[in-house]
Amino acid sequence: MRVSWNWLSEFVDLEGCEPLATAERLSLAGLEVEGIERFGAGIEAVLVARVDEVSPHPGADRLRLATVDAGTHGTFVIVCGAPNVRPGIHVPFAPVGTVLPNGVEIQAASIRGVPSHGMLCSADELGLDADGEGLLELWGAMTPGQSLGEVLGLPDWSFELSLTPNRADCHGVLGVAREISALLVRPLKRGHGPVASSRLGSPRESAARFEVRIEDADGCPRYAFAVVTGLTEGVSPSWVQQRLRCSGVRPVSRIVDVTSLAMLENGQPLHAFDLERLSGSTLTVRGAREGETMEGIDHAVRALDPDDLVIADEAGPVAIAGVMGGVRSEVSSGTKAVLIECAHFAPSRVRRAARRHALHTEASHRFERGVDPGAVDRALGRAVELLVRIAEESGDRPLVSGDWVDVDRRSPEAKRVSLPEGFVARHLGLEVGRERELEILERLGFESVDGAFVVPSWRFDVSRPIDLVEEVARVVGYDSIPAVMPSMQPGVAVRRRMDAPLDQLAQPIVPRERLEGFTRLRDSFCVSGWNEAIHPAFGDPERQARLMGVNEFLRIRNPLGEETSVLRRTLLDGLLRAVRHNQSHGAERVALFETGKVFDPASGVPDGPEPQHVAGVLAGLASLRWMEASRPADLHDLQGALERLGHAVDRPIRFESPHDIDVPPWLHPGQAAVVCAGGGCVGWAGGLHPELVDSLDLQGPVLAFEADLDEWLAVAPATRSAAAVPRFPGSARDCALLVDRSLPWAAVEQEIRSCWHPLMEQLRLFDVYAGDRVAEGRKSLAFRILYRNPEGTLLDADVERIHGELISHLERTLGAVQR
Amino acid sequence: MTASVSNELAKLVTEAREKFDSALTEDELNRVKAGYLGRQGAISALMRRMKELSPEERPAFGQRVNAAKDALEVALDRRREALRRERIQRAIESERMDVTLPARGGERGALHPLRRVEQDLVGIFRRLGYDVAEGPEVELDFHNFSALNFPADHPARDMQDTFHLEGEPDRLLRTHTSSVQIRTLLANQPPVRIVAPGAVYRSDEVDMTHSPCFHQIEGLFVDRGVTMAHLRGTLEAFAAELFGRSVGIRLRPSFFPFVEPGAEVDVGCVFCDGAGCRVCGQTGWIEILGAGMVHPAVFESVGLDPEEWTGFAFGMGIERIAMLRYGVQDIRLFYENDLRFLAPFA
Ligand SMILES: [Zn+2]
Repeated sequence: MRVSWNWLSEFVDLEGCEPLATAERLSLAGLEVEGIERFGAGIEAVLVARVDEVSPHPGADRLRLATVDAGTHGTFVIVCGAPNVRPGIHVPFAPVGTVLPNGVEIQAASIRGVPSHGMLCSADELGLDADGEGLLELWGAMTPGQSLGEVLGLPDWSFELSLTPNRADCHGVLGVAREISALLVRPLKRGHGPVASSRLGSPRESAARFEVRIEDADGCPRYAFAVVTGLTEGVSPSWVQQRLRCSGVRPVSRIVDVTSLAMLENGQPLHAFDLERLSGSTLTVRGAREGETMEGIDHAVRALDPDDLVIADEAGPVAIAGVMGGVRSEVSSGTKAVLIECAHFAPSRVRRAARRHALHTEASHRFERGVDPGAVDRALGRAVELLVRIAEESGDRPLVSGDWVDVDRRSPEAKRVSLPEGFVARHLGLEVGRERELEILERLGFESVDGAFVVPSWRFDVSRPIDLVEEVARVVGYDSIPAVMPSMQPGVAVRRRMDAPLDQLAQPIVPRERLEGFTRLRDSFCVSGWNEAIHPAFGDPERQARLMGVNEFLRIRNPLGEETSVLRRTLLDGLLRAVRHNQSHGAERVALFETGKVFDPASGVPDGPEPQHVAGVLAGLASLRWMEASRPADLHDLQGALERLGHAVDRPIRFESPHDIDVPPWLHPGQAAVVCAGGGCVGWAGGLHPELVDSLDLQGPVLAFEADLDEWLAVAPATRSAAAVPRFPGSARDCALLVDRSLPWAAVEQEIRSCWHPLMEQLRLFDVYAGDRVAEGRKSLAFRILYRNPEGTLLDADVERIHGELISHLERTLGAVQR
Repeated sequence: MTASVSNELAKLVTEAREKFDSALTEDELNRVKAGYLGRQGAISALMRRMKELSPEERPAFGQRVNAAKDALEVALDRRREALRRERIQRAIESERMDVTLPARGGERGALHPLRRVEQDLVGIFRRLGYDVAEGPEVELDFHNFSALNFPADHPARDMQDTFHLEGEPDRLLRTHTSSVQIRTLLANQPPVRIVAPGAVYRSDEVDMTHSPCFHQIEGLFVDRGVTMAHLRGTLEAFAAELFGRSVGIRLRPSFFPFVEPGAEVDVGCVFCDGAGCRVCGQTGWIEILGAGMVHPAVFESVGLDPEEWTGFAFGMGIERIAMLRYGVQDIRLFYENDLRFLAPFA
């Protein structure tokens, strides 16, 4: 919201206050001043002049000669190019010698042979309105020769306030003035009280021409209106327009501008209905009826919801309460009489309607946050007073009818909040002193009655003692609160609440072991040359389905786009996109890993677990270092990195063939390995399916893995105990077996282990060969077994015999042949 | 007879010395050595001819043969040492390498800059005695809003545009890590002090400083007798740790429904030491977090007595701090995972 300094000074004594310092003080009290704009600087020498005569310029078609009256300053002939120059209008006149805000100095000059004695100005030239083309036409009461600044109420400052939702009371000049008065200890001026307008009599509940019926007093606790006739609608006086501009509002026309002024001043939205376009004699405040529609002043026709609170005349709704008026009763150029509504609507009711109809108006913004229901009469009185004054200034003879209605159904109880002694210190750690507390609160409008504070009707945000603590803290300044380090006994043990209100609530505190596991895991990846990626948890349903072979997702009701409309079930979606991105920018090696949550709708329970996954992709070269620079990465590189990872988190892994388990769709069916830790499967690793490499437009080879970190870390960590160092020499035997090419090493190993002899100590595969030197469809697996007798000398004959038996067992069971 | 054997011995020694010196490798030298000093060698053969001599002549002959043998051993050692040195020298020459070539392996990957910041922040608070807590990213309205004193139909909810789940009116993507405050207080008996890092979601339009997903770290400290002075003390200690030196902090009143009094917290600009620069918008201050005293309504919603317990909470954006610390201008770079962007964080 923007607020004018001059307007503020009508309500609070700002004599001697410096605007910039005041803005800083407001910011440090919670009313953040986001920007400050200066209006009308450098126009001190500009005068009001009346154009008396306009004649053509003898030497130029586009120029004219204007004779202007500048009162006691004299009469001048000015060469003028503006199209809107015409006799009778009042315009700004810069006499010779004036320096305009844009730095131009007005000099006596001859333009195309005709001398010109000054300049008539546009709003743009005066720095008042960048869009203001043509001469600035001045409206309202003024005399030629008067200072322009005096007429427009300039110079002025405009503060742009960024208000938090709790400070509804500062959506009007009056509220900000109250705040300044408390902060700077400056008295409020008389004008802040009720408007004692002689034009308004005493309010009544009904009147001759119109009455109001409130059917929904919860939605509308107070409804008031006044009727003014004898108007002609037209341009507002210039001082009104300028005041609106300083408040960030575009001037429209007199009646509309008056409701704006009254709202900007009091924070209370008002609405003017064209009296002659209302039907019947009763306004009803009620819920909309099934099937009702209303065309708003924005010309959109809206189907109304029974929860919408509307103002209706006998022909139907004429406004959605507190949100927008209807076009049928809208004020227009022909309006001669108005009914000005000034009411209090329940914040949540207005908010629901505004959201339902996707409308956010100056009125709904204020009502949602809370408008002072105690200021309805003041705002209405002010609007009527301004309307009459402006109408008279514009030459009308307005008449305020006796129809001033105020139906007030508010609870008469004011909120009271107590502030026990010591309470402020107990929360702030700062002794403010009882007297100071009282003084601050009273200045903010909290009246101390019988040991409690009566909350002023404009403070919706105050209902508890702690709210008063904040008020005190704001005014004394947060900077006066000392800095004290809380005492920190190390390691307060986490204690589950015995009275935990929800059963079996998951413990949010992360065990140290798990935290450190995550750190070691990431370190291990980085040490292996992998880079960490972080992606948002949004997924593209189509791509996720392709990777996972599932169609059930947690879907977002209001996604930013289709490709971010579900929550991911695999981290590979994001990682593969990153591969594509990096390859398209020329990366020869992409090694990325990510840890993050995945979301399974089948977990069902609304508060279900979110498994933490780890995934990675490896694409392109195995290494960028020169000696390996031409070797493409393969499955073994990926598996090596994963094994290191297993050791880093102290839960070693092994790889198994999938056998009869279904392989996830993202995996190459011939390069899919189950990642096992402890007794179970924790994930998958392997080549990316060639179909995906193709359709995602990747450059192969691409290796990938994904594992469930929760399951992995749930495996018992490796246990360690010392082993005896052998004292007797061992003896090694090598063996090269020709086997079927599809036979996995794990099957061979399993057979060897099945006839493991106590003299066998170690098995190591040292060569795998499938090429010209072995038969088609066969491969050679060369391994070495180390034999040792831990208790004595190993006999060669024993080794020969045991090894021979092993070989014949393998030949028999695997169809193998020793090379 | 004696003379001929003696001559033969002398000849043998001379000949052996020549052959030793002409051997070019240690292997060749060993073969030559065997021809003279081995069991089948020339010297042994000469010894066997001792029986041809008279008993009187034998001791003197024996001594001469032994002397010759010793002399040969010396010559042999000398030659062997020379050859060994030559071999080492050759090795030194032939094994010369370019030590400036890049090593094998040893490339380090990058830890994501957001992770670096998260780890640093968590580390600071762990050293201050805080536990780490975490909560789900798909939250219930209760934990994310109502228990945090955001009433339904209240404009405070507009401060955080929310993603909702389809078909489940009560579930949403958490808009802040403050939901973990509620979970922690529901599960655990105070005193508690936790920090909770994690991803949060808001349906903001994407631009240089806004992303629909970003990361926060939340702090909560609840005990008996906690005051706003303790909040200030903690934040000062935190800022000094984060920036590695003492920086001023400034608290400005602000509004978050779950704290009262609430504050926005600025730190003195570390780029200009408060003089005013582009980073701090000429103000000398940089806003880095929101904080305040835990609102009594929050204690009530988790069933704790606000008369007994007080506490403070704070929260900050990890992206915001990473952008300041590493000079990142566009928040979207964090989620693109471009290796060229990540490389400096190895
Ligand atoms: Zn700076």
